[in-house]
Amino acid sequence: MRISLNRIKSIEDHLLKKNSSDEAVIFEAKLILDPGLEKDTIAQQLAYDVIHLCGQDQLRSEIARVEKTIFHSPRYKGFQKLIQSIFN
Amino acid sequence: MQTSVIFDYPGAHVDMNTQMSMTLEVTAETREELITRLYETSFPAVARFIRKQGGTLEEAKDLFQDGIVIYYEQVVRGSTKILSGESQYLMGIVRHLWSRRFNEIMKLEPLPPGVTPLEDDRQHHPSINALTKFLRESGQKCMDLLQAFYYDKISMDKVAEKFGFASARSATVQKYKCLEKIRDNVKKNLMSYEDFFE
Repeated sequence: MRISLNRIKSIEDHLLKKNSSDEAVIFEAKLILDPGLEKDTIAQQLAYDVIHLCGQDQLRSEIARVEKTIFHSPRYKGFQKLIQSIFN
Repeated sequence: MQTSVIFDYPGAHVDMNTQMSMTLEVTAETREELITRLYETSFPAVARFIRKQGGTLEEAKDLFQDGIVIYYEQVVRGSTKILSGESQYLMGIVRHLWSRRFNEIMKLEPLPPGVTPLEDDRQHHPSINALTKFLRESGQKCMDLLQAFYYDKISMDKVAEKFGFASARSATVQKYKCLEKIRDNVKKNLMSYEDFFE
């Protein structure tokens, strides 16, 4: 793996708490000595946040699609009647 | 001894490390089946509960959607110990969401005229939303791969199979390349980038 990818991996190990306590101490020291590493670490955390939001958006759109089907398709007539009876 | 639930729908992979914990790996193909089944088995009870509390069908649908997201994230992450049926578990989440919403309403005082109510967190960060949209459009394949691993918690072996890589090792290398691409785009495109470094 090329050097920049190893750097990404080491940031990931730190952010996702996958490294040992010794490795964590070394990483903390590197963070102090290398301002570029700090910037990359912050940006990588934001990248995980964006991935999480994208994953959540996709899940929500799948849920909405299923909900639409289950509340409108004739296939689920029994279910629709049951829910209607609860709110009537 | 307490009994754990077995997820028995097609494609569900249950890894029971101990009697008390389990992880669930759901592929995109089976997720629709999972969501459909949750509606069929759990929504009627949730609807009855919300109705009893004086809520509407729309509120029930809304809370149920949030409940599924929380349930999914907890279960795929393997951080939840499900000791009773999934319906009861989902119902527990919805009850919590309902009481939180109800308490918020009770605590809120009417806003002074002309004051706009606070939006949710994401609407406070339009740059994050714009960035998310940009990243999704500019690199869907990378985003799909990263979501599969980081959000859906699919193992690298399965990711390799799903995305056509020869091995988990090559999928891992590609994952880091994609992460690097996303990270660099984050750096380039986040309008308030400097805010994060000061």
